[in-house]
Amino acid sequence: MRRRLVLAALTATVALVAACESERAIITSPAGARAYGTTLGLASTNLPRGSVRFPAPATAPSTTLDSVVVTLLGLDSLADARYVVWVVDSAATTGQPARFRRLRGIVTQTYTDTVTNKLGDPEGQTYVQTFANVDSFNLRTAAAAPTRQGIGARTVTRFVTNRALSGLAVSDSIQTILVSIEKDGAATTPSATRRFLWARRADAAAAVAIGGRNTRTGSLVFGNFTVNRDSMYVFTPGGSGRVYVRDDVIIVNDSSLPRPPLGFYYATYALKRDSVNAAIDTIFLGAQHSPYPRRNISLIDADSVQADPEAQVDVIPSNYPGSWARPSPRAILFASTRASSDTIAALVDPKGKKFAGIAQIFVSLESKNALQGRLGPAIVFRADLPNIVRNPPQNPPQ
Amino acid sequence: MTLSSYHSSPKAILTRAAVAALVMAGGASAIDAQVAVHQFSITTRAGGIHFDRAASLKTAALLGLDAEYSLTRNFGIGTSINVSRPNTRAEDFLSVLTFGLGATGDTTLFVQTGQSVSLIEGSIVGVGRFPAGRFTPFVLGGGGLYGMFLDPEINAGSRRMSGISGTVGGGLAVRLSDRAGIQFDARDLVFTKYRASRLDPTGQRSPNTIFIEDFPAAPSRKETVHNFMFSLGFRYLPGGAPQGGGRGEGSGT
Repeated sequence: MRRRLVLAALTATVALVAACESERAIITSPAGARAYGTTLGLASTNLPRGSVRFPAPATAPSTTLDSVVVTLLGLDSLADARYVVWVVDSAATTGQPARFRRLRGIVTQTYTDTVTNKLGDPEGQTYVQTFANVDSFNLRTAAAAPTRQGIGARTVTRFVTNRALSGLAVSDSIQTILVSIEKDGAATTPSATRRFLWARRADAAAAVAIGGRNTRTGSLVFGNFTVNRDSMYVFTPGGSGRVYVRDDVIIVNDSSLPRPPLGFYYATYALKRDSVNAAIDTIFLGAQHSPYPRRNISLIDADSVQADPEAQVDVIPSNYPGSWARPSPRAILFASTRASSDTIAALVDPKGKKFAGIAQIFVSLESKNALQGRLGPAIVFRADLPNIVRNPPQNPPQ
Repeated sequence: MTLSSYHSSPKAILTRAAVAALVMAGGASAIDAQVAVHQFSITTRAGGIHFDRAASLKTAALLGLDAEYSLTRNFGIGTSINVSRPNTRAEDFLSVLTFGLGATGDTTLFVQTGQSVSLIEGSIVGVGRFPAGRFTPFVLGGGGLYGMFLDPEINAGSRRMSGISGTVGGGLAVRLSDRAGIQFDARDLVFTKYRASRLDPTGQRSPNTIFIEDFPAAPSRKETVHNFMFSLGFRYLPGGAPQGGGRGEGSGT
C-alpha cells in the first residue's frame, strides 16, 4: 500500500511539473521596423498641352496669311525621336482615307530658369532658341544635370507656319493640327501609336479679328488621335494612391489610373532635397508593375496591351457617348512600384542613412521615346514624405 | 519575456520526459505487478506534441492517460486522453496598428499576436500487442474528439475549436515487474475541421496588406492537420494477482 502511495505521489509530481508552465505567451510583440505612409495627391502638372491659333484672312484664302501657330508645353526632350506637326485633312471625301501633310515652319523655344544674381537673390532667366524652316524639333537635354528632371517643364515651344512654308495650296484644308512623335525623319504619315496632341479647327473658339485676320484658337487635346472622332481617347488624369516606407523598402501603390495614351507609361520617382530644401536629385524608382504577388509583370506597355488581365480592365471613357469599339482603353485598377535602398544607392546618403533627404515621391507620365530614368515634366501624383523619413533619426525606433 | 524568446524546446521536453520516466521506473521497480488477459491497465504518459506547421502551434509538452482492457493476449481496447497547453505561432498572426491621418502621414506598427490555448483530446483506441519476452512492441489506432480552448482574455470572450480526432501509432513497452513497466510511443494525432484562422485574436481585421513579402508567409491553411505526438509512459495493472500466478497468458506489459 505504501509503495502504491509513493508511486501515485511521484506520478502526480511529474504531472504537476509538466503542466505548470512558467512562461506564457505575451499577447502582442512588435515585429520589425515601423512603416510610414502618406497619400499621393493628384497633381496633374505639366501634362503635354497647348493651343493652336488659326489666323486666316476674312476674305479669300492666302498662301501667306493662312497661318497656324502651335504653342506647346509639357513636352519632354526625346532620346530617339523628334516631334512633328501635321495637318490632317479630316474633311476629305467620305470613304477616302484621311490625308496627312507634314508641316514645316519656324520653331521658337523659350526656356525659363531661376538663377541666383550677384546679390544672391533668385531671379528668372530666359533662354530663347529659334530654328527656321524645320519639319521636326526636339527639346535640348539638360546636359549639365542629365539625371535630373528634363527641361520640358520649363520650356514653351512655339511652332509657326503658313501655307507657303508648308507647301499647302489654298485649296488644301487646314482642319486639324496633330503633333506626333516620329523616329523616321522622313515620315509622310504620323506614327499610329504616337499621335498624342491635336486640335480641331471646328472645336476652336469663334473667330476673333486680330490684325486684319480672323483668328480662331483651340486647345490641344492630349490622348490618342484618330480621324474618327468616336474612337479618340482623351487622357484625363485620375486615381489615387499611397506611399509607404519601411526600413529599406519604399512601396508606391496606385489605384484606378486611366490608361496612359499610346507611347506613354507611368513611372515613379523620388525627389531628393538638401538641407536648404533645394532639389538636388530625382531618383528613378521604376516603371509601374502589378502589385504583389505579380510584381514581375511590368505595366510599361499598359498603353497598348493588356499586360496583366487582373490589373487592367476595359473602361469606357466618360466622354464617349456610345459603345466603345475595340481596342478599348484599359484602365489600370491597381499598380505598384517597390524599390529598395539596398539596390538603389542614391536612396542612401553618404552616412548610410536610408531615404535621408528624400522629400517627395512623384508618379509621372513618361514618354517611351524619352530617356528612361530621367523625370519628365508630366507629374500625375505627388506626395510629401513624412519628416521622419526625410530626416531619419540617429537610432531609428524598432 | 517576449514571444520570440518563448518556446518549449524539444530538448526541454525530452529532458522532462526522461526525468519523469526515471522517477516512475524507480518507483515501479519495487512494486509487484502483473499483466493478464481480461484485466485493465493504466498508463500515464508525458511527452510532447510537434504540431503540423499548418496548425500554427508551437511544440508543447503533453500529459496523457491511457486505460486499456485486454481482450486477448494480443489485443485490447481502451481510451486515451491527452492534454496540452501549446502556444500559438505568433508570427503567423501578423496584424498592423496604424496611427495618424493617411493624408498627412501615418505610422504603422507591425505586431505579432499570440496566445496560449488549452488542448484536450480523447480517443477510443484499439491496441495490438506482440509480447516478446521483456519487450512488447505494440500498435494502436482509434478516433475521438478534440477541443481547443482559446485564451478568453486575449480573445475578449470564450472561443473554442473542436472536431474529430484520429490516432495512429505504435511503440515499445518494457516490463519492469509483473505489474509495472514503461513504454515509449509515437503517434500521429490527427485533427479534422481545424481552422487555424480562429487562433488569430484580431479576427484578421487588420492584416498586413502592404509589406507582404517582407514577413514570413503563414503556412497554407489545412482543415486536417497531422501532429506528431511522442511520450514516455508508466504502465500499471491495478488488478489483483493473475490467475495461476507468475506470468500467465497475458505475460508482458
